[in-house]
Amino acid sequence: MPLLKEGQIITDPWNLVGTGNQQTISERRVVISFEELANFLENADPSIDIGVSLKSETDAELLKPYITKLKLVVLNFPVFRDGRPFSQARKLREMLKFNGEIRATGNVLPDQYQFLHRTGFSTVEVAETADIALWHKAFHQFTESYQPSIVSEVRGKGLRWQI
Amino acid sequence: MDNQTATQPNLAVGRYNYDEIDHGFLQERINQFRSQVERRLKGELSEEEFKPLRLMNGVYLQLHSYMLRVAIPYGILSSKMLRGLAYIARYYDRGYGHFTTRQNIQFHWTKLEEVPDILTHLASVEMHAIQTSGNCIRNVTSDEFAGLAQDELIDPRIYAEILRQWSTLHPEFAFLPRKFKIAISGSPNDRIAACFYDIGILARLDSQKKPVFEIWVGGGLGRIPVKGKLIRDDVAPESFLAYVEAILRVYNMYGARNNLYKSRIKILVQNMGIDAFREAVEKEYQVMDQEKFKLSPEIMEQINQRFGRPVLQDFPEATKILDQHRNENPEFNRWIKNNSHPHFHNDYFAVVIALKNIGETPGDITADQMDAVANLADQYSWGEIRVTHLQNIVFGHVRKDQLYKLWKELVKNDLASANQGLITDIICCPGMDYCALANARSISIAREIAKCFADIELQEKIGSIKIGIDGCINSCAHHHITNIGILGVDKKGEEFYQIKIGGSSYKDDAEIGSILGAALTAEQVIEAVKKMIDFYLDKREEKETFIDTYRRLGAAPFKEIVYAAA
Amino acid sequence: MAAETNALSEEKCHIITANRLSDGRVVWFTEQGYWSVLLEEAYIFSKEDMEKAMEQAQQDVEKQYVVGLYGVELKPTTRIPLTTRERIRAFGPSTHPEFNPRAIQEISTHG
Repeated sequence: MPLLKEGQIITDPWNLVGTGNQQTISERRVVISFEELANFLENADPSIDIGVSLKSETDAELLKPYITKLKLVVLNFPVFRDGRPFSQARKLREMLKFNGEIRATGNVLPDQYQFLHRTGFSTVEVAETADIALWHKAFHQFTESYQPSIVSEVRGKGLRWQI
Repeated sequence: MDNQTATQPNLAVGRYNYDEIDHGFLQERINQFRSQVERRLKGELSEEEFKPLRLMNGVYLQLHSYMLRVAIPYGILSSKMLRGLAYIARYYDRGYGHFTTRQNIQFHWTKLEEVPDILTHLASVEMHAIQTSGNCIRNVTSDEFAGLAQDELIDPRIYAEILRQWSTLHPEFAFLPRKFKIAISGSPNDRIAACFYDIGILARLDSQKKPVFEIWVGGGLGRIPVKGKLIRDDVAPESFLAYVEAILRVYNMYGARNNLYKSRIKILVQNMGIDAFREAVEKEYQVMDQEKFKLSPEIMEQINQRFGRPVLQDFPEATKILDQHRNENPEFNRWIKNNSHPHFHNDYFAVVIALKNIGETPGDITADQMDAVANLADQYSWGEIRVTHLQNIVFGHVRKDQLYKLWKELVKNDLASANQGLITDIICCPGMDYCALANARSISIAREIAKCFADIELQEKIGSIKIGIDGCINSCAHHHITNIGILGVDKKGEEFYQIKIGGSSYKDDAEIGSILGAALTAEQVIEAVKKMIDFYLDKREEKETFIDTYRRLGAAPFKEIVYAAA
Repeated sequence: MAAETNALSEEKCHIITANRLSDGRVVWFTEQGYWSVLLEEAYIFSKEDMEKAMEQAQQDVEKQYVVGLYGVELKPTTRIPLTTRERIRAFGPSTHPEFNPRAIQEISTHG
């Protein structure tokens, strides 16, 4: 599935084929579900890159013991109305100081793209049929916002931030 | 009072005035919504996908048509805004609008394909429909006497505006488990029903005599009415936004998403217990970047500067002149007695323009009345109009000697009902005449009850009482917390009504009413109200109001009087 | 007129309704397969015929012409819906008799 970063299609270094419990291995990269993470890390080759996929109901804080070992966190939207991944991403960045890639998968609308970006997502996996132009436009929909975010934005007068 | 001038003559009084950035933002939002409507009409968005998007912009599909709910942040309009609403009522709707119990206005007959144009028109008068519905942070409500009340410690309008801006397209809280409503007042005396909001904020003085906010959380009405809990009573104003953000994060993460009836924050607070909930909020609060949310004096001043303010002038003769007018005209005297509210400036009053004419729809206002009110506001109250959660209008700053002239103009426009706070000042939702959620009509019940008590002397004899009439358990008209609450229920396609008694809305004696008995027909429920009032008039002791008598006697005798001789 | 070929009977008391996507107006499914704002023009089906008729009407949901499709039951041998809610949908809010669709005469068109 196409992977978008800042409104553009990029090549997926992780080559994901789905999420959840399905473990996808390319040469030096592994994405594992959170439920299997602890076991996996016990025997893992320390030189490979590890990513984890999190269900929307899982508390992102539970990643705390592993966070420095992770290069990617995949947050899944079971349905676009489930807003928990926005808080998960925010917590990963703000509370756990995670600097790696945060990826959105599942049912996401282009109308949510700036919300994703501003809560700390780096990439979003979209459907094969997605209208990429629409996503691109959505990424630049708003140029001003009224609340701080975790991405670096320019502070304006009052509560405003320039996106 | 001719040529009234505000501090900054080009700024509308009492509310935040947009600058170019705010206008630019709104234009971007309209562009986004216009494209969402186009995608829907072309079939690129399914109804399931579009519904949350249109709701987030205040567009409902009701029984007869699309309804557009327009936000009136903290209930304050300028005359220019009200004229803008009149234009929309005339050209896009059917000549009227309906003020809601959450300081919004609804247009019941809009067309989806025209909504983007309506929004463009609204934007030209600094209004929008952003987040007036949907599972997000809704329009922030406030005290209708904000900025003029004698007991005010903090001007809540600035903080309400901050909440409005902060919550607008908040990236993290646009898809909450359920809707989220915040009310804020700067007084210790609750006029906003703070205990029945998702978050209710009141002000108080701490031990150093510094004003601080007390924050109530997890209150609400609906299917499961709950009185909120006090989460903190010492939040410094400059930190309150960070604290509210922390509450929202806990709710977004842990609020139920698999059961519509358990998804409000009230259920989360109930299930966790207030102490565990508070602990979770404190934890978020401690780790978040509070600096970014801190409301520094500089930020406060930048927002404050966008507020226009009236220049109140001493006019020592004002009270004397008012008293003369009151002596000369008993009808005017009655209106002042029932519909005025004290102002911190002794030469001024706030007055309530009741939208509760006998036999009409509570909260409805025609386009012509909107224009008339706008003109009168320009003449008498610095062009400022406030709409209340009780579906009335308030002029905030009328010099006392001018009240008689204002009243005569109101009489001409059929806007001088002197029934504020009396039995015909009924709160009423649109009910099944319009609303897709309703089980029964509410407006017809409100109109009939008002007709039974049309005699103003009888109303005054009955005294202070609040009736709320809801067409469904969603409880927009607060029937759980009004002295007499009426709830429409459906029985096999027929309308029935349940009575609640003993509810009370405000902090010090906030109470959820109790169900009186089996549901009644429309005719029976009106009879029941008459019987209860007759009984109260018969049994009341000196100076008792309805709720006092109820509290003294309990529900049993009222139940008996309604159900005994059926 | 649908009404002439569509006699009322005890068995035939089902009609199909929806709201028009573009403007939200209440519309009724007619014999010719278009949608009318007037309940009088609704085609009346027997319970058995409803399933097939709903399938046909559903096509207009897919064409983005109407939303919220469902069946409405009439009082037997009348053109009056059984429930108060549907009577209000059909004849307008009781608070505004002048908004009865018959009084307003909006033009119905096919999508």
